[in-house]
Amino acid sequence: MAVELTAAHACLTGYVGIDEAEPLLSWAIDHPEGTVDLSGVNHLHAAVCQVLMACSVRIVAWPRDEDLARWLPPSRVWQHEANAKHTASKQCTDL
Amino acid sequence: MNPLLAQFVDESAELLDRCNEGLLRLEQDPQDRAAVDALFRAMHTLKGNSGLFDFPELTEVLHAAEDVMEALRLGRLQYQPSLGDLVFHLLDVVRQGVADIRVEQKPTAVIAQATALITALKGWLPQGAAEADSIQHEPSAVPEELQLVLPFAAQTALWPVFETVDTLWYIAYRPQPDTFYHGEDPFWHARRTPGVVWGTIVAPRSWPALENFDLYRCVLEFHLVSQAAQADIAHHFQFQRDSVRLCALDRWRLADLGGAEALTAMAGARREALVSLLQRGAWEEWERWLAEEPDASGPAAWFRGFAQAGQQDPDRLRAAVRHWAVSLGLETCVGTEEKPGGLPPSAASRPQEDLGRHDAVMPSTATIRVPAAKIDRLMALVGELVVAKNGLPYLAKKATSEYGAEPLARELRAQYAAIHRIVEDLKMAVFDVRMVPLSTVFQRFPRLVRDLARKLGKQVTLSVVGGETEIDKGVAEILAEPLMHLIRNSLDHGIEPPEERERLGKRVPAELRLSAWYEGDTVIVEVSDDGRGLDSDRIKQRAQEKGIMTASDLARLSERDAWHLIFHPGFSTVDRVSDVSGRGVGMDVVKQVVERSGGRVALDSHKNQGLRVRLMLPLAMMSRRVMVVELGDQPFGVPIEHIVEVVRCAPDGQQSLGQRATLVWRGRSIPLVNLGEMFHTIPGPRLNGFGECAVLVGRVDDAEVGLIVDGFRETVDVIVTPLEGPLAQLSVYEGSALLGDGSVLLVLNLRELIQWQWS
Repeated sequence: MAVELTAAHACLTGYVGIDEAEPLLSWAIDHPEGTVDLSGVNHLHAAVCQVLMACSVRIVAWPRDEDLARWLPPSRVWQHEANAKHTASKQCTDL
Repeated sequence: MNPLLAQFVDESAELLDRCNEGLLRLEQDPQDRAAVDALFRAMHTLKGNSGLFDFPELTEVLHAAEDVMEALRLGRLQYQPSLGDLVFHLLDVVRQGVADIRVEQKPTAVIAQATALITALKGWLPQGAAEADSIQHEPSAVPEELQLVLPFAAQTALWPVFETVDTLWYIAYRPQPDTFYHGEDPFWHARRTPGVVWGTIVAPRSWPALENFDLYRCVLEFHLVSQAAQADIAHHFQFQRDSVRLCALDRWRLADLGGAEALTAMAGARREALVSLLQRGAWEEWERWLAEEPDASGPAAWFRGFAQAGQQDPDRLRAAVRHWAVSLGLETCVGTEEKPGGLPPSAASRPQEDLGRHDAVMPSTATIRVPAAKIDRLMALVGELVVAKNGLPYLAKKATSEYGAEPLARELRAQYAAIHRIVEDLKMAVFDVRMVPLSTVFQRFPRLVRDLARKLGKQVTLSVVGGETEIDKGVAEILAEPLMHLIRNSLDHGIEPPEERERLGKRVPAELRLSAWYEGDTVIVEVSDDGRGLDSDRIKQRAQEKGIMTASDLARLSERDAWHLIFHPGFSTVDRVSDVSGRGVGMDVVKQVVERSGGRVALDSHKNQGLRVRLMLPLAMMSRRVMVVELGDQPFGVPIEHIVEVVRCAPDGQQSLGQRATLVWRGRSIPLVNLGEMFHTIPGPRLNGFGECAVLVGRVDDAEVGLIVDGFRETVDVIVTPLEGPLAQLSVYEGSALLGDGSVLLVLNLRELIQWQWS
């Protein structure tokens, strides 16, 4: 499964298609403080990208896939990067 | 709606007007350079403004239109009437779209027609331009609105690529908003572009609240740089041609993107050393300079890449460095003995940028925008003040009659005079604020005339005179509709087709005049044409067919009276119903609307020479001047514009013609109406010591009538409010007004009164 959603955390892996966009949006609305792990992602559908960029969730891990990583935008998602670096370890222990 | 968007909507209306005006001028004289420039600037500003909001279709449509304007401006395209039709249509659609934004928060009309409009506009572009605009870009031109989103680090990373290729392609891919519904993943498509060396996702400037977020509407853009051949890129995006903009990125353009920035980021001494050595082309020092650089990434890395990529053309490299240095105020380290080797790379694109910036500058004008509602409120308050002020004379009268305090009464009157003067001044001042030039109404007609004339196959020139005449905003607003009907009627019924005019020896094109001027307290707006004029025989015939009047009544009708039949509801002399006019509504609307605002309509016609319709309108609608007349004990108001004269009439001045009483007045005999009888006031007409009764001579529609009343009082300025509820059925009253002493004055509607009397 490409997306695993828990109360505080979303873990996306592999190819995340458009079907995941809606559940992800609902999750983001319900969990504005939620965190997202993209480390295992190879591709995000543009619709999923939009959702991640539009909502305020924090990305705690960026894709290991270098080709994908270089595309991800210097926008709101990025803004959380600095925070994410600090809190990533804490988040992990929460899990 | 947020204030910025509201401002956009307001300003767009003005810009669209400017576009319309420019286009009309261009149509009259296709060589009019100033008109093309004005049109282009207005379109450009409009497009720029729309880009601030998330209305991609609107921006794209305007962009396409701007391209066409640009082609006109550069002489790559010649103006033709059919292009005018298209652009006029576009302006209408955009106007509707902007109106939609106010209501639905999105330009629905534009969204619906965007693709068709863009395709049509692109069809007009000269072949070369169209191609340059979509996929085959000539290396020197950056599309003006294409903002290269290329971070500093990415630029640095791109330098090594120039070792293998000379030209990279910057690709801005903005997928259609509905792309997801076509099963597409634009991000995947962007990633799969051949030869990608850098790419990023560009998000919109702001995001809506998550609850309102439409996740199936694509709002992302993808910007990338590819080293593939142009043909390969074109092939990859062959189904997205409209969504892709391409710009060639050679080393000099890349240099120009970041050069000044890189130089700025450097410490002072290092920077001067660098400029100096690059100017001198001292490559042996260059290595040393680099070795001394503590931070091997950042600006130094950028310059290393730049120097390596640019070494093949040292002159150009020097020129570029010189340009940046000068722009940063570092002239001292740039040798003066050298003359700049050619233009710096950015010079070519400067003028366009300046144009954009010029439009963006906020004009510092001495005018402010005030919502009309605020002025209306001010006007209403002044109106109330006028009425309240009118209470003082009553108070003075009461001070004398009830309290015997004549000195107090005198002071009250003096005070009243002072307040009266101030209130009058205030009234005039507010009135002045509400005044708008008639050109605000007239400006839409050149377009209307043009469109209708084309549709009807007639040749007409419209001349507009007196657009500067100012009139109350309220009157101006209601004037548009009647004028439109009049102009339509002239074009459809009055003005003959060109062949017929030639046969009659009349001038082609026909002339339609729209003029306005002041006459005392009224403004005259006149629509005249040199067409067929009114045919009273045909009007009579039609009136009979429609059962408006009987044949015998019609036979007695004078020519002038017959003309007025065209104002009868449901009257139309043209057999076919055109979509221009001729539905039998129109002229009656004209009359109704004008009379409702206290104005009059007059006709003058000469067969085969033309028709002249005059609308006589009050300058202001705020307060009405009425004369107070008495019937029994009750006061009634008669609008002053209907009053010709007040006379005393001895019984021997009255005659009976059949059943009708008439009054001989100034050598004419006019019908007499006993208002007292109509209102059943008791006792009958009040006579003075000479046995004379009071007669008010009124005029309605060029017809005079004498009204027998019991007495005259003063004239007052009042605010007439229409009657409400069941009383609204009583059409003999125009409305009611509050007098200064608090009593209610019913204001008579003379026209209805007379019609009621005759029937």
